[in-house]
Amino acid sequence: MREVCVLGVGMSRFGKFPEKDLLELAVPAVWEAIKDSGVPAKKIQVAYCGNVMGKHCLGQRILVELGLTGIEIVNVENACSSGSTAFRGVWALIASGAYDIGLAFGAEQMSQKVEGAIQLDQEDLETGQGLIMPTLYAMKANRHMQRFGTTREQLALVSVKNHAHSCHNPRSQYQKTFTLEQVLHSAMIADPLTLYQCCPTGDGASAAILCAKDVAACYQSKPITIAASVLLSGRTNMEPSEMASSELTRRASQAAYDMAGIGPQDLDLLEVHDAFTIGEILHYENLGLCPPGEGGRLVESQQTWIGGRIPVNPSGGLLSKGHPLGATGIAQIAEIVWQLRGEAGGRQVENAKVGLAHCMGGGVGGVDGAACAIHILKR
Amino acid sequence: MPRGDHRQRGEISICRPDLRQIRRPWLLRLSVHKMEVFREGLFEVREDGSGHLLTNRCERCGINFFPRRKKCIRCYRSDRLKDAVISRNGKLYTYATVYQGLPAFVTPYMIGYVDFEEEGLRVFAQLTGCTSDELEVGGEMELVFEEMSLREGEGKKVTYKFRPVPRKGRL
Repeated sequence: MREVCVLGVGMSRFGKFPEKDLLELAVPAVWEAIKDSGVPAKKIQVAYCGNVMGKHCLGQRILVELGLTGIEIVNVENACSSGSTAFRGVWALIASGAYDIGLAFGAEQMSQKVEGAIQLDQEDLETGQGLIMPTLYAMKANRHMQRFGTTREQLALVSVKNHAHSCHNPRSQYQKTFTLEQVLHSAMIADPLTLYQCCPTGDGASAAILCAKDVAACYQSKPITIAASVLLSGRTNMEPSEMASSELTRRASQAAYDMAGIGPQDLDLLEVHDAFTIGEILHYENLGLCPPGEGGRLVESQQTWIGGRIPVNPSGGLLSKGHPLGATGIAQIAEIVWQLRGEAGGRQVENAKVGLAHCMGGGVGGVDGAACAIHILKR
Repeated sequence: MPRGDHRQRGEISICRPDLRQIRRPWLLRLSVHKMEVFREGLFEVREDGSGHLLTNRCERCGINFFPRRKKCIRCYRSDRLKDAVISRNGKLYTYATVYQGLPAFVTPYMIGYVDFEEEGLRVFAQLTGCTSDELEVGGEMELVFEEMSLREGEGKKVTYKFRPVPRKGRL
């Protein structure tokens, strides 16, 4: 497998824009990534598009606006990990030698379709009885609180941190701080998760240009190397496993660390899947940032703030930056790229050299997770 | 703002509505067995309101399934599948009280997972017969059959739920 780099990234502002359709959201983000990369658009040989709720052949519809069809185009869906899956698809084709240069992008238009929580497929037995994502995560939170003594305040601190981080991110859906009291007193969704502990729905797009390392020098002086790319699915729920943990994330991250030849202690920053505050706490443990059960105490210690030992979600995370489903995966990667290049402005993590993006797509019949994608990038 | 977990200290947080106002779905023991079921093939309920969950087991692989499967998920065959039931108590693995959930349901409603250790099954269901302060992880739960707490216009259906088994010595 050849080494692959990210040459360029682009991302729209995330937010609620019911007046904008998918094309208006995606085309500027794709164009931004192409310009950022220094690669002439006609050199792109393959494109993958990640999306959940949109039309068939979305990739082609978007690229026709830029006159870029004719190449191989693939449309992928893996719930919240759709964008990461698109990125991995392009990575795999370049790494295996099929192509030299590719485009991965993701987009979602939710505000025209969804109000409140996403309604999952009611044919699914558990959903039909009232299980949706916030309720699933609330159960994980209660289990974690009972087993390890994690407190409501520790959960809420994740939201306080990520909202504070997003004040320095002009593309973030929300860019304001919340106090601990404001987070705890926001509307209760599923006990103990309050409104500000659940990521918002929204609209947006993100894109990346990937290139084989041996041809990257023609286009860019600052390529960011993809040191690991892993995409795995959760095991069946035939043997129930601990809900206050994620077997899938542990397995995927171990594979990623092995592939990159590093351990969690070598990371300078992470973008993790904080769709709900408890998610971030669980993933601290699953990704090996702290021992099992210590996630609540880790966020309380401020070590995962920008300026701390191991910043997590400097972009504001899904909680504040937003979570247009198809766009999230590559937006996480874009953040890591900006951080590693030193282009993150007010939210810059000092001397960032190695970053990890973790995305978890779920919502299928109570399985731990449908698709966990981990990418490790380094400069 | 008091520190620590409110639930463990038995306090009701000011950010939640008064839990004593949760409408307790009344037990319709005499007519549940005549009601439309939430979904076919999941349970059987008798005239007296008692009943069981319908499971099956692959004798070759030693795995139990709920809901019943047509083929074993491991050997992918059906020749050694035997029907079984769960009618006894399980242990509450975790739970949550939902204030904004599926639109068809009256809120708040309680949900949870109940473990049946012998069978290796974890069953998701709504919880009933108590306030959320009375639920505890590891608590013994018994199977009951009740009308689903659906909103006006969503129809009447019966489903399986779990409620805490009253502990000896508790009032």
